[in-house]
Amino acid sequence: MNILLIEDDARVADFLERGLRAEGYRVQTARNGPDGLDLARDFNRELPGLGGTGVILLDVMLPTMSGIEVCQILRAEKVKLPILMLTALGSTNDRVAGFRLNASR
Amino acid sequence: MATELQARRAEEANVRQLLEERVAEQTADLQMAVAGLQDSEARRRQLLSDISHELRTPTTVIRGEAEVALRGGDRPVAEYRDTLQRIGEAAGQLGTVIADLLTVARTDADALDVRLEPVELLGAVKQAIERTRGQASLRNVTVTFTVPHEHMMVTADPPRLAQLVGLILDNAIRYSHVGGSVTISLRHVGGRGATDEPQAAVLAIEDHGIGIAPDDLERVFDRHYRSAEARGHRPDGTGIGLAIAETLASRQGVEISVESTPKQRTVFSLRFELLAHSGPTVKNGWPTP
Repeated sequence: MNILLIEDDARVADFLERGLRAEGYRVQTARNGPDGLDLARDFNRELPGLGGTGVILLDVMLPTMSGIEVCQILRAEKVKLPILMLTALGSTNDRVAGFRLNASR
Repeated sequence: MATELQARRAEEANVRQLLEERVAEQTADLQMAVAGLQDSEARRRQLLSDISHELRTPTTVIRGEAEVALRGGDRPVAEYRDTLQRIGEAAGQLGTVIADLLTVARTDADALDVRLEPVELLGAVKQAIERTRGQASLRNVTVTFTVPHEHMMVTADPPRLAQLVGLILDNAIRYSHVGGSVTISLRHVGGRGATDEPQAAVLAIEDHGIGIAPDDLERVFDRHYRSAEARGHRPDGTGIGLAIAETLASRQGVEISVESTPKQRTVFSLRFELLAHSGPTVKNGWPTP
């Protein structure tokens, strides 16, 4: 399983990367929205060649471009990879915003 | 009779007009009050959301680090040490956020306890630098402190002073670009030469980050106020840090000021009345430690 992690907080990205790698996942990380978007497009294109399934872990509160915007753009570009939104906000509004954009969780 | 009737009608028309004007005025007042309440409610919600994020992030790190360390087989001791170090830093950050929130609550309840005493300023600055080291390292921001050749005694509440300097320094690191730099200087001013400017210690914390637009500069110490640029640069944060800093400064008799050039630099200055100093003799009557 390949995972693209888009998370700006170095501390959170750090333990998620270590934890996921320890579980045998292949992890790529982007630290902001625009970089995450570029990597997500590459990830979507190259995934069949990587011979596996993929998932995007996307932080909601990213600087410059929010996770919600990244999700919106990817869905508008018909990227169908599952997207799990990571949020420390936890409000109903944030969850609703994510689901409206077809995030998976 | 006809004249009397006309006069009464005119009077009625006047009363009606007055009434309509009063109703219109009160409606406008009511609309303003509703808009104010809606604005205040929106800010309250935003604040709760921001606080929630500020508390949850370090909590998530603490839990995540512990869970990752506990999974799988035994690891080298050094790895566990690194994990504990990160957990300690996240717990420290959590403690800082809680201390800030308590300061806000105590200020609102008029119960902020400030005990002034002579304090050596250099030590407080070094303590604040130490406390923000983790955050600076995360953003790869270099913090440079030009240590002065003299010790300066000021009046302050030691933990509140450390909190005040920490808040300003945290803000400078937060709004620096990744890999940027923050410079701290501590100067002894006044009392020299012809001017009779009172002797003071000025602590200046300068960053080279996003800067503050002139319109935002006026509101930078308002509670919960965050400019669009600030929110775009750092979506996290509560917007209460500088408001707390201003309260802590005023309660300790410290003048706080800010100057900024958008997209270039911001300097926050804290001016302390100098009690004593250990540098060269500057003027008669000033005690030296």
